[in-house]
Amino acid sequence: MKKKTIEEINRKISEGTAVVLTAEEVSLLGKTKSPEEIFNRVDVVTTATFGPMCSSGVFINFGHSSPAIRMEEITLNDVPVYAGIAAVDAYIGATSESVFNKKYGGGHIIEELIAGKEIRLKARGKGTDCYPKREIETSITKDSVNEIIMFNPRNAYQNYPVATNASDKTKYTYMGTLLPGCANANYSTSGELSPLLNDPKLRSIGIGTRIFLGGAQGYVAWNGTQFNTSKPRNEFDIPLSNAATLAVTGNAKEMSAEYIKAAYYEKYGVSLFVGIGIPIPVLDVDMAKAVSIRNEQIETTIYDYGDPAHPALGTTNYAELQKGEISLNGLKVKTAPLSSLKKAREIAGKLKKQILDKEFYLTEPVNIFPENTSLNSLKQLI
Amino acid sequence: MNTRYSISFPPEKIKKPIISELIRNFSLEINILNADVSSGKTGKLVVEIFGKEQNLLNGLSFLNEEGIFYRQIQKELIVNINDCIACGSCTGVCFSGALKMSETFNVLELNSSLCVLCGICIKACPLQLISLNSNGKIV
Ligand code: SF4
Ligand code: SF4
Repeated sequence: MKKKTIEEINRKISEGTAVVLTAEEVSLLGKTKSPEEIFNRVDVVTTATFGPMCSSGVFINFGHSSPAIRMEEITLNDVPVYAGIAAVDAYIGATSESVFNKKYGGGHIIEELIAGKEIRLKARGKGTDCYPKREIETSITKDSVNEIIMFNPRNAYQNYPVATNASDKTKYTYMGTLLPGCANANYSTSGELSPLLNDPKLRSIGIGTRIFLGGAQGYVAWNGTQFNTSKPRNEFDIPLSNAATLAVTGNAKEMSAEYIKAAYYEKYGVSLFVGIGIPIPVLDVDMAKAVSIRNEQIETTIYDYGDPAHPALGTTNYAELQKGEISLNGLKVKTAPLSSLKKAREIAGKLKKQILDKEFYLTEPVNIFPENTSLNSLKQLI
Repeated sequence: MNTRYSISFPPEKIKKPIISELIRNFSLEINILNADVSSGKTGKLVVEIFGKEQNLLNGLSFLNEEGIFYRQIQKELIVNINDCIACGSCTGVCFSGALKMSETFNVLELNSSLCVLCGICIKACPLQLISLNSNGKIV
Protein backbone atom coordinates (compact mmCIF):
# COMPACT_ATOMS: atom_id res chain seq x y z
CA MET A 1 0.00 0.00 0.00
CA LYS A 2 1.21 3.51 -0.83
CA LYS A 3 2.16 5.55 2.19
CA LYS A 4 3.08 9.07 3.24
CA THR A 5 5.12 9.84 6.33
CA ILE A 6 4.67 12.71 8.77
CA GLU A 7 8.13 13.89 7.70
CA GLU A 8 7.04 14.07 4.05
CA ILE A 9 3.87 15.91 5.00
CA ASN A 10 5.84 18.41 7.10
CA ARG A 11 8.22 18.96 4.17
CA LYS A 12 5.22 19.78 1.98
CA ILE A 13 3.94 22.16 4.65
CA SER A 14 7.28 23.98 4.73
CA GLU A 15 7.39 24.10 0.94
CA GLY A 16 3.85 25.46 0.86
CA THR A 17 2.54 22.53 -1.22
CA ALA A 18 0.58 20.59 1.42
CA VAL A 19 -3.12 20.12 0.73
CA VAL A 20 -5.12 20.66 3.89
CA LEU A 21 -8.89 20.21 4.18
CA THR A 22 -11.22 20.39 7.14
CA ALA A 23 -12.96 17.17 8.14
CA GLU A 24 -16.24 18.52 6.77
CA GLU A 25 -14.63 19.36 3.44
CA VAL A 26 -13.10 15.90 3.13
CA SER A 27 -16.39 14.21 4.09
CA LEU A 28 -18.06 16.09 1.26
CA LEU A 29 -15.27 15.10 -1.13
CA GLY A 30 -15.63 11.49 0.04
CA LYS A 31 -19.13 11.39 -1.46
CA THR A 32 -17.69 11.51 -4.97
CA LYS A 33 -14.04 10.46 -4.61
CA SER A 34 -12.61 7.12 -3.60
CA PRO A 35 -10.27 6.76 -0.63
CA GLU A 36 -7.38 6.24 -3.15
CA GLU A 37 -8.13 9.57 -4.79
CA ILE A 38 -8.41 11.28 -1.41
CA PHE A 39 -5.11 9.77 -0.32
CA ASN A 40 -3.45 11.06 -3.51
CA ARG A 41 -4.93 14.50 -3.19
CA VAL A 42 -5.07 15.37 0.51
CA ASP A 43 -2.24 15.48 3.06
CA VAL A 44 -3.86 16.73 6.25
CA VAL A 45 -7.41 16.86 7.58
CA THR A 46 -8.23 19.24 10.41
CA THR A 47 -10.77 18.07 12.99
CA ALA A 48 -12.23 19.99 15.93
CA THR A 49 -14.65 20.09 18.79
CA PHE A 50 -15.95 22.77 21.15
CA GLY A 51 -17.98 21.17 23.88
CA PRO A 52 -18.41 21.18 27.63
CA MET A 53 -15.62 19.02 29.12
CA CYS A 54 -15.91 18.76 32.89
CA SER A 55 -12.60 16.98 33.40
CA SER A 56 -10.51 20.08 32.78
CA GLY A 57 -8.39 22.42 34.83
CA VAL A 58 -5.14 24.34 35.19
CA PHE A 59 -2.09 24.12 37.40
CA ILE A 60 -1.09 27.55 38.61
CA ASN A 61 1.97 28.83 40.45
CA PHE A 62 1.24 32.10 42.25
CA GLY A 63 4.84 33.08 43.07
CA HIS A 64 6.13 33.59 46.62
CA SER A 65 5.23 36.44 48.92
CA SER A 66 7.70 37.87 51.40
CA PRO A 67 7.60 36.51 54.06
CA ALA A 68 6.54 33.29 52.35
CA ILE A 69 3.41 31.22 52.99
CA ARG A 70 2.76 27.51 52.55
CA MET A 71 -0.78 27.77 51.13
CA GLU A 72 -2.89 24.95 52.53
CA GLU A 73 -6.37 26.32 51.86
CA ILE A 74 -6.90 28.49 48.82
CA THR A 75 -9.88 30.23 47.28
CA LEU A 76 -9.96 32.24 44.06
CA ASN A 77 -12.99 34.57 43.94
CA ASP A 78 -14.35 32.32 46.73
CA VAL A 79 -13.94 29.15 44.66
CA PRO A 80 -11.93 26.57 46.60
CA VAL A 81 -9.04 25.19 44.56
CA TYR A 82 -6.79 22.24 45.25
CA ALA A 83 -3.92 23.30 47.51
CA GLY A 84 -2.33 19.96 48.31
CA ILE A 85 0.73 20.54 46.13
CA ALA A 86 3.75 22.39 47.49
CA ALA A 87 3.61 25.95 48.84
CA VAL A 88 2.27 28.17 46.07
CA ASP A 89 1.10 25.68 43.44
CA ALA A 90 -2.58 24.86 43.03
CA TYR A 91 -4.90 23.06 40.65
CA ILE A 92 -8.05 24.86 39.59
CA GLY A 93 -10.55 22.21 38.60
CA ALA A 94 -13.25 23.39 36.21
CA THR A 95 -16.14 21.99 38.27
CA SER A 96 -15.15 23.41 41.66
CA GLU A 97 -17.96 25.68 42.92
CA SER A 98 -17.93 29.01 44.69
CA VAL A 99 -18.89 28.82 48.35
CA PHE A 100 -21.50 31.54 47.80
CA ASN A 101 -22.74 31.09 44.24
CA LYS A 102 -23.30 27.66 42.79
CA LYS A 103 -23.43 29.09 39.29
CA TYR A 104 -19.84 30.29 39.49
CA GLY A 105 -16.80 28.09 39.74
CA GLY A 106 -13.44 26.90 38.54
CA GLY A 107 -14.45 27.14 34.89
CA HIS A 108 -15.17 30.84 35.33
CA ILE A 109 -11.85 31.44 37.11
CA ILE A 110 -10.01 29.75 34.23
CA GLU A 111 -11.88 31.72 31.58
CA GLU A 112 -11.37 35.01 33.45
CA LEU A 113 -7.66 34.38 34.00
CA ILE A 114 -7.23 33.65 30.30
CA ALA A 115 -9.18 36.81 29.45
CA GLY A 116 -6.69 38.81 31.55
CA LYS A 117 -9.07 39.63 34.40
CA GLU A 118 -8.06 40.16 38.00
CA ILE A 119 -8.91 37.39 40.45
CA ARG A 120 -9.03 37.65 44.27
CA LEU A 121 -6.76 35.14 45.99
CA LYS A 122 -7.18 34.20 49.65
CA ALA A 123 -4.96 31.59 51.24
CA ARG A 124 -4.14 30.21 54.67
CA GLY A 125 -1.42 28.01 56.03
CA LYS A 126 -0.50 26.81 59.48
CA GLY A 127 2.85 28.65 59.38
CA THR A 128 6.12 26.73 59.39
CA ASP A 129 9.73 27.65 60.13
CA CYS A 130 10.42 28.02 56.43
CA TYR A 131 7.00 29.50 55.55
CA PRO A 132 6.09 31.69 58.53
CA LYS A 133 3.20 33.63 56.94
CA ARG A 134 -0.23 32.27 57.80
CA GLU A 135 -2.65 34.23 55.75
CA ILE A 136 -2.66 36.22 52.55
CA GLU A 137 -5.26 38.13 50.60
CA THR A 138 -4.30 39.64 47.28
CA SER A 139 -5.22 39.78 43.64
CA ILE A 140 -3.65 37.98 40.71
CA THR A 141 -3.77 38.12 36.92
CA LYS A 142 -2.25 35.87 34.32
CA ASP A 143 0.70 38.25 34.10
CA SER A 144 1.33 38.37 37.83
CA VAL A 145 1.59 34.59 38.33
CA ASN A 146 4.40 32.34 37.13
CA GLU A 147 2.77 29.55 35.14
CA ILE A 148 -0.77 28.58 34.24
CA ILE A 149 -0.54 25.14 32.69
CA MET A 150 -3.74 23.62 31.45
CA PHE A 151 -3.95 19.92 32.15
CA ASN A 152 -7.26 18.31 31.29
CA PRO A 153 -7.42 14.66 32.36
CA ARG A 154 -10.32 13.71 30.09
CA ASN A 155 -11.24 15.66 26.96
CA ALA A 156 -12.36 15.06 23.39
CA TYR A 157 -14.46 11.98 24.03
CA GLN A 158 -14.61 9.66 21.03
CA ASN A 159 -18.37 9.70 20.51
CA TYR A 160 -20.86 10.30 23.30
CA PRO A 161 -24.31 8.86 23.91
CA VAL A 162 -27.46 10.88 23.31
CA ALA A 163 -29.35 11.74 26.49
CA THR A 164 -33.11 11.65 26.86
CA ASN A 165 -35.45 11.29 29.82
CA ALA A 166 -38.24 8.71 29.92
CA SER A 167 -39.23 9.54 33.51
CA ASP A 168 -42.09 11.88 34.42
CA LYS A 169 -39.92 14.64 35.91
CA THR A 170 -37.62 17.17 34.26
CA LYS A 171 -33.99 16.16 34.76
CA TYR A 172 -31.30 18.79 34.93
CA THR A 173 -28.09 17.08 33.86
CA TYR A 174 -24.64 17.70 32.46
CA MET A 175 -26.38 16.79 29.19
CA GLY A 176 -28.61 19.83 29.62
CA THR A 177 -32.29 20.13 30.51
CA LEU A 178 -34.11 16.88 29.71
CA LEU A 179 -37.88 17.20 29.73
CA PRO A 180 -40.08 14.32 30.89
CA GLY A 181 -41.58 11.69 28.61
CA CYS A 182 -38.63 11.78 26.17
CA ALA A 183 -39.79 15.19 24.96
CA ASN A 184 -36.26 16.07 23.94
CA ALA A 185 -32.84 14.50 23.46
CA ASN A 186 -29.44 16.20 23.64
CA TYR A 187 -26.22 15.13 21.95
CA SER A 188 -22.71 16.37 22.33
CA THR A 189 -20.11 15.74 19.68
CA SER A 190 -19.30 17.55 16.49
CA GLY A 191 -19.99 14.40 14.42
CA GLU A 192 -17.89 14.16 11.27
CA LEU A 193 -15.73 17.05 12.52
CA SER A 194 -14.92 15.36 15.82
CA PRO A 195 -11.22 14.49 16.27
CA LEU A 196 -11.29 10.90 17.51
CA LEU A 197 -14.07 9.91 15.10
CA ASN A 198 -11.76 10.70 12.17
CA ASP A 199 -9.01 8.41 13.40
CA PRO A 200 -11.10 5.81 15.18
CA LYS A 201 -8.23 3.42 15.81
CA LEU A 202 -5.99 6.25 17.04
CA ARG A 203 -3.23 5.47 14.58
CA SER A 204 -1.96 9.03 14.29
CA ILE A 205 -2.90 10.44 17.70
CA GLY A 206 -0.79 9.43 20.70
CA ILE A 207 1.40 10.79 23.44
CA GLY A 208 3.10 13.98 22.27
CA THR A 209 0.71 14.80 19.41
CA ARG A 210 0.64 18.56 18.86
CA ILE A 211 -2.89 19.97 18.88
CA PHE A 212 -4.86 23.22 18.93
CA LEU A 213 -5.90 23.72 22.54
CA GLY A 214 -7.96 26.71 23.58
CA GLY A 215 -6.41 28.92 20.92
CA ALA A 216 -2.79 27.94 21.63
CA GLN A 217 -0.64 25.03 20.53
CA GLY A 218 -0.91 22.27 23.09
CA TYR A 219 -0.12 18.59 23.27
CA VAL A 220 -1.71 15.27 23.97
CA ALA A 221 -0.11 14.29 27.28
CA TRP A 222 -1.48 10.81 27.74
CA ASN A 223 -4.56 8.77 27.05
CA GLY A 224 -7.45 10.40 28.87
CA THR A 225 -9.03 8.91 31.97
CA GLN A 226 -11.85 6.37 31.41
CA PHE A 227 -10.06 5.47 28.14
CA ASN A 228 -12.01 2.54 26.78
CA THR A 229 -11.16 0.68 23.59
CA SER A 230 -13.55 -2.20 24.07
CA LYS A 231 -16.85 -0.55 23.13
CA PRO A 232 -18.68 -2.28 20.26
CA ARG A 233 -17.94 -0.68 16.87
CA ASN A 234 -19.91 -0.40 13.64
CA GLU A 235 -18.63 -1.32 10.17
CA PHE A 236 -16.81 2.04 9.95
CA ASP A 237 -14.85 1.32 13.16
CA ILE A 238 -16.92 3.90 15.05
CA PRO A 239 -17.51 2.95 18.71
CA LEU A 240 -21.23 3.16 19.43
CA SER A 241 -20.91 5.18 22.64
CA ASN A 242 -18.24 6.98 24.67
CA ALA A 243 -14.89 5.26 24.13
CA ALA A 244 -11.40 6.80 23.85
CA THR A 245 -10.46 10.09 25.52
CA LEU A 246 -7.42 12.38 25.61
CA ALA A 247 -5.47 14.00 28.42
CA VAL A 248 -4.27 17.29 26.97
CA THR A 249 -1.95 20.02 28.14
CA GLY A 250 -0.87 23.50 27.07
CA ASN A 251 0.13 26.97 28.20
CA ALA A 252 -3.08 28.65 29.34
CA LYS A 253 -1.39 32.07 29.28
CA GLU A 254 -1.31 31.79 25.48
CA MET A 255 -4.94 30.68 25.18
CA SER A 256 -7.92 32.80 24.26
CA ALA A 257 -11.23 33.13 26.08
CA GLU A 258 -12.82 32.69 22.65
CA TYR A 259 -11.96 29.01 22.87
CA ILE A 260 -12.19 28.42 26.62
CA LYS A 261 -15.61 29.26 28.07
CA ALA A 262 -17.15 28.58 31.43
CA ALA A 263 -20.54 26.91 31.51
CA TYR A 264 -23.17 26.34 34.17
CA TYR A 265 -25.71 23.57 33.77
CA GLU A 266 -28.82 24.12 35.85
CA LYS A 267 -28.84 22.01 39.04
CA TYR A 268 -25.74 20.16 37.86
CA GLY A 269 -22.95 22.65 38.20
CA VAL A 270 -20.05 24.35 36.53
CA SER A 271 -18.18 23.00 33.53
CA LEU A 272 -15.87 24.32 30.84
CA PHE A 273 -16.20 24.52 27.07
CA VAL A 274 -12.82 23.56 25.65
CA GLY A 275 -11.84 24.13 22.03
CA ILE A 276 -9.68 21.37 20.62
CA GLY A 277 -8.42 20.92 17.08
CA ILE A 278 -6.38 17.95 15.88
CA PRO A 279 -4.73 17.58 12.48
CA ILE A 280 -4.94 14.07 11.05
CA PRO A 281 -2.26 13.10 8.53
CA VAL A 282 -3.60 11.13 5.56
CA LEU A 283 -0.88 8.49 5.85
CA ASP A 284 -2.43 5.82 3.64
CA VAL A 285 -5.66 4.78 1.95
CA ASP A 286 -7.09 3.44 5.21
CA MET A 287 -6.62 6.84 6.85
CA ALA A 288 -8.17 8.48 3.78
CA LYS A 289 -11.18 6.27 4.29
CA ALA A 290 -11.33 7.04 8.01
CA VAL A 291 -11.27 10.83 7.54
CA SER A 292 -14.00 10.65 4.90
CA ILE A 293 -16.49 9.44 7.52
CA ARG A 294 -19.88 11.16 7.25
CA ASN A 295 -22.50 12.01 9.86
CA GLU A 296 -24.87 9.29 8.68
CA GLN A 297 -22.14 6.69 9.29
CA ILE A 298 -21.46 7.82 12.83
CA GLU A 299 -23.90 6.01 15.05
CA THR A 300 -24.41 6.51 18.75
CA THR A 301 -26.54 5.09 21.54
CA ILE A 302 -29.50 6.84 23.17
CA TYR A 303 -29.51 6.60 26.98
CA ASP A 304 -32.33 7.28 29.40
CA TYR A 305 -31.08 9.75 31.99
CA GLY A 306 -34.43 9.51 33.74
CA ASP A 307 -33.28 6.19 35.18
CA PRO A 308 -30.17 6.22 37.38
CA ALA A 309 -28.84 3.14 35.54
CA HIS A 310 -29.00 5.02 32.21
CA PRO A 311 -30.38 2.12 30.17
CA ALA A 312 -29.92 2.21 26.39
CA LEU A 313 -33.15 2.97 24.52
CA GLY A 314 -31.90 2.70 20.95
CA THR A 315 -29.36 3.99 18.46
CA THR A 316 -29.29 6.85 15.99
CA ASN A 317 -26.72 8.70 13.89
CA TYR A 318 -25.48 12.26 13.62
CA ALA A 319 -27.23 12.99 10.32
CA GLU A 320 -30.54 12.21 12.05
CA LEU A 321 -29.60 14.11 15.19
CA GLN A 322 -28.70 17.19 13.18
CA LYS A 323 -32.07 17.15 11.45
CA GLY A 324 -33.60 18.18 14.77
CA GLU A 325 -35.78 15.14 15.34
CA ILE A 326 -35.15 11.43 15.84
CA SER A 327 -37.60 8.63 16.12
CA LEU A 328 -37.35 6.59 19.27
CA ASN A 329 -39.50 3.47 19.42
CA GLY A 330 -42.09 5.16 17.23
CA LEU A 331 -41.97 8.42 19.21
CA LYS A 332 -40.74 11.63 17.57
CA VAL A 333 -38.14 13.23 19.81
CA LYS A 334 -36.80 16.78 19.37
CA THR A 335 -32.99 16.93 19.38
CA ALA A 336 -30.53 19.66 20.26
CA PRO A 337 -26.74 19.82 20.39
CA LEU A 338 -24.72 20.82 23.45
CA SER A 339 -21.41 21.36 21.72
CA SER A 340 -21.04 24.20 19.27
CA LEU A 341 -20.64 23.14 15.67
CA LYS A 342 -20.05 26.76 14.75
CA LYS A 343 -17.04 27.01 17.05
CA ALA A 344 -15.75 23.59 16.00
CA ARG A 345 -15.84 24.75 12.37
CA GLU A 346 -14.05 27.93 13.32
CA ILE A 347 -11.29 25.89 15.02
CA ALA A 348 -10.93 23.42 12.13
CA GLY A 349 -10.67 26.38 9.75
CA LYS A 350 -8.16 28.17 11.93
CA LEU A 351 -6.00 25.09 12.28
CA LYS A 352 -6.10 24.58 8.51
CA LYS A 353 -4.93 28.15 8.01
CA GLN A 354 -2.15 27.78 10.59
CA ILE A 355 -0.86 24.70 8.76
CA LEU A 356 -1.05 26.42 5.38
CA ASP A 357 0.73 29.45 6.90
CA LYS A 358 3.51 27.14 8.18
CA GLU A 359 2.73 28.00 11.79
CA PHE A 360 1.70 24.50 12.75
CA TYR A 361 3.60 21.30 11.93
CA LEU A 362 2.46 17.76 12.53
CA THR A 363 4.08 15.42 15.03
CA GLU A 364 4.75 11.73 15.15
CA PRO A 365 3.35 10.35 18.46
CA VAL A 366 6.11 9.59 20.95
CA ASN A 367 4.10 6.59 22.01
CA ILE A 368 0.79 5.07 21.02
CA PHE A 369 -2.07 4.42 23.43
CA PRO A 370 -2.91 1.11 25.09
CA GLU A 371 -5.00 -1.13 22.90
CA ASN A 372 -7.15 -3.35 25.05
CA THR A 373 -8.62 -1.27 27.80
CA SER A 374 -11.96 -1.43 29.52
CA LEU A 375 -13.34 0.30 32.61
CA ASN A 376 -13.39 -0.68 36.24
CA SER A 377 -16.30 0.40 38.37
CA LEU A 378 -16.25 1.41 42.00
CA LYS A 379 -17.13 -1.22 44.59
CA GLN A 380 -19.31 -0.10 47.48
CA LEU A 381 -18.73 -1.39 51.00
CA ILE A 382 -21.95 -0.11 52.51
CA MET B 1 -54.24 45.52 17.64
CA ASN B 2 -52.91 42.59 19.59
CA THR B 3 -51.34 42.60 22.99
CA ARG B 4 -50.21 40.11 25.58
CA TYR B 5 -51.76 39.95 29.01
CA SER B 6 -51.16 37.95 32.09
CA ILE B 7 -54.51 37.19 33.74
CA SER B 8 -54.81 35.94 37.33
CA PHE B 9 -58.00 34.28 38.51
CA PRO B 10 -58.74 34.17 42.21
CA PRO B 11 -59.62 30.58 43.28
CA GLU B 12 -63.36 31.26 43.35
CA LYS B 13 -63.40 32.49 39.74
CA ILE B 14 -61.54 29.60 38.19
CA LYS B 15 -64.71 27.79 37.19
CA LYS B 16 -66.21 30.79 35.36
CA PRO B 17 -65.98 30.68 31.57
CA ILE B 18 -64.33 34.10 31.46
CA ILE B 19 -62.28 33.50 28.34
CA SER B 20 -65.19 32.29 26.27
CA GLU B 21 -67.22 35.30 27.41
CA LEU B 22 -64.44 37.60 26.32
CA ILE B 23 -64.42 35.94 22.94
CA ARG B 24 -68.18 35.82 22.53
CA ASN B 25 -69.30 39.13 23.97
CA PHE B 26 -66.44 41.38 22.94
CA SER B 27 -65.45 39.99 19.53
CA LEU B 28 -61.94 39.35 20.67
CA GLU B 29 -59.71 36.60 19.47
CA ILE B 30 -57.67 35.02 22.23
CA ASN B 31 -54.64 32.86 21.92
CA ILE B 32 -53.61 31.13 25.15
CA LEU B 33 -49.84 31.08 25.34
CA ASN B 34 -49.39 29.58 28.76
CA ALA B 35 -51.78 28.27 31.40
CA ASP B 36 -51.26 27.40 35.01
CA VAL B 37 -54.66 26.60 36.45
CA SER B 38 -55.36 24.16 39.24
CA SER B 39 -58.42 24.39 41.44
CA GLY B 40 -58.08 25.85 44.91
CA LYS B 41 -55.24 28.10 43.83
CA THR B 42 -54.91 31.30 41.87
CA GLY B 43 -54.90 30.42 38.20
CA LYS B 44 -52.69 32.19 35.73
CA LEU B 45 -53.05 32.55 32.00
CA VAL B 46 -50.77 34.22 29.54
CA VAL B 47 -52.79 35.23 26.52
CA GLU B 48 -52.46 37.17 23.36
CA ILE B 49 -55.57 39.19 22.55
CA PHE B 50 -56.46 40.29 19.03
CA GLY B 51 -59.27 42.69 18.26
CA LYS B 52 -60.41 46.30 17.84
CA GLU B 53 -59.10 48.71 20.44
CA GLN B 54 -62.56 49.61 21.76
CA ASN B 55 -63.50 45.93 22.06
CA LEU B 56 -60.32 45.28 23.94
CA LEU B 57 -61.00 48.14 26.36
CA ASN B 58 -64.54 46.88 26.92
CA GLY B 59 -63.22 43.38 27.51
CA LEU B 60 -60.73 44.66 30.04
CA SER B 61 -63.36 46.58 31.97
CA PHE B 62 -65.44 43.40 32.03
CA LEU B 63 -62.46 41.67 33.67
CA ASN B 64 -62.31 44.51 36.20
CA GLU B 65 -65.98 44.14 37.03
CA GLU B 66 -65.52 40.43 37.51
CA GLY B 67 -62.67 41.06 39.94
CA ILE B 68 -60.12 39.40 37.75
CA PHE B 69 -56.64 40.81 37.75
CA TYR B 70 -54.79 41.38 34.55
CA ARG B 71 -51.55 42.94 33.58
CA GLN B 72 -50.26 43.87 30.19
CA ILE B 73 -47.10 42.00 29.48
CA GLN B 74 -44.30 44.01 28.15
CA LYS B 75 -41.86 41.30 28.98
CA GLU B 76 -39.80 40.05 26.20
CA LEU B 77 -37.26 37.33 25.91
CA ILE B 78 -33.78 38.76 25.55
CA VAL B 79 -30.88 36.73 24.24
CA ASN B 80 -27.41 38.19 24.47
CA ILE B 81 -26.51 37.15 20.93
CA ASN B 82 -23.06 38.76 21.09
CA ASP B 83 -21.85 36.22 23.61
CA CYS B 84 -23.80 33.29 22.18
CA ILE B 85 -21.55 30.40 21.15
CA ALA B 86 -24.34 28.76 19.13
CA CYS B 87 -24.16 25.59 21.20
CA GLY B 88 -27.86 24.98 20.68
CA SER B 89 -28.76 23.82 24.21
CA CYS B 90 -31.61 26.29 24.53
CA THR B 91 -33.31 25.07 21.36
CA GLY B 92 -33.95 21.61 22.80
CA VAL B 93 -36.49 22.91 25.30
CA CYS B 94 -38.24 25.45 23.09
CA PHE B 95 -41.32 23.78 21.69
CA SER B 96 -42.92 26.91 20.29
CA GLY B 97 -40.16 27.13 17.69
CA ALA B 98 -39.10 30.59 18.86
CA LEU B 99 -35.51 29.47 19.40
CA LYS B 100 -33.98 27.50 16.57
CA MET B 101 -30.58 26.80 15.15
CA SER B 102 -30.06 27.94 11.57
CA GLU B 103 -29.85 25.09 9.10
CA THR B 104 -26.05 25.11 9.20
CA PHE B 105 -25.99 25.35 13.02
CA ASN B 106 -23.94 28.53 12.73
CA VAL B 107 -26.41 30.91 14.40
CA LEU B 108 -29.14 30.82 16.96
CA GLU B 109 -32.32 32.34 15.56
CA LEU B 110 -34.91 33.93 17.84
CA ASN B 111 -38.38 34.56 16.50
CA SER B 112 -39.96 36.56 19.34
CA SER B 113 -43.44 36.42 17.85
CA LEU B 114 -43.53 32.65 18.48
CA CYS B 115 -42.27 32.92 22.07
CA VAL B 116 -44.87 32.00 24.69
CA LEU B 117 -42.69 33.29 27.53
CA CYS B 118 -42.57 29.91 29.26
CA GLY B 119 -39.04 30.68 30.41
CA ILE B 120 -37.69 27.12 30.21
CA CYS B 121 -34.85 28.18 27.92
CA ILE B 122 -33.51 30.59 30.54
CA LYS B 123 -32.20 27.73 32.63
CA ALA B 124 -31.07 25.73 29.63
CA CYS B 125 -28.40 28.19 28.49
CA PRO B 126 -25.06 27.17 30.01
CA LEU B 127 -23.73 30.70 29.50
CA GLN B 128 -26.78 32.28 31.13
CA LEU B 129 -27.40 34.56 28.18
CA ILE B 130 -31.19 34.40 28.18
CA SER B 131 -33.46 36.52 30.33
CA LEU B 132 -36.90 38.01 30.43
CA ASN B 133 -36.68 41.77 30.56
CA SER B 134 -38.64 42.81 33.57
CA ASN B 135 -40.13 46.19 32.83
CA GLY B 136 -43.56 44.62 32.63
CA LYS B 137 -45.79 47.36 33.99
CA ILE B 138 -49.15 47.04 35.64
CA VAL B 139 -51.86 48.59 33.46
S1 SF4 C 1 -39.50 31.35 26.79
FE1 SF4 C 1 -37.84 30.33 25.70
S2 SF4 C 1 -38.44 28.19 25.60
FE2 SF4 C 1 -40.28 29.34 26.12
S3 SF4 C 1 -41.20 29.75 24.11
FE3 SF4 C 1 -39.95 31.53 24.58
S4 SF4 C 1 -38.02 31.09 23.59
FE4 SF4 C 1 -39.11 29.15 23.68
S1 SF4 D 1 -27.85 27.95 24.99
FE1 SF4 D 1 -27.03 30.01 25.22
S2 SF4 D 1 -25.02 29.96 24.20
FE2 SF4 D 1 -26.13 28.12 23.57
S3 SF4 D 1 -27.16 28.71 21.64
FE3 SF4 D 1 -28.64 29.12 23.28
S4 SF4 D 1 -28.27 31.28 23.85
FE4 SF4 D 1 -26.50 30.62 22.65
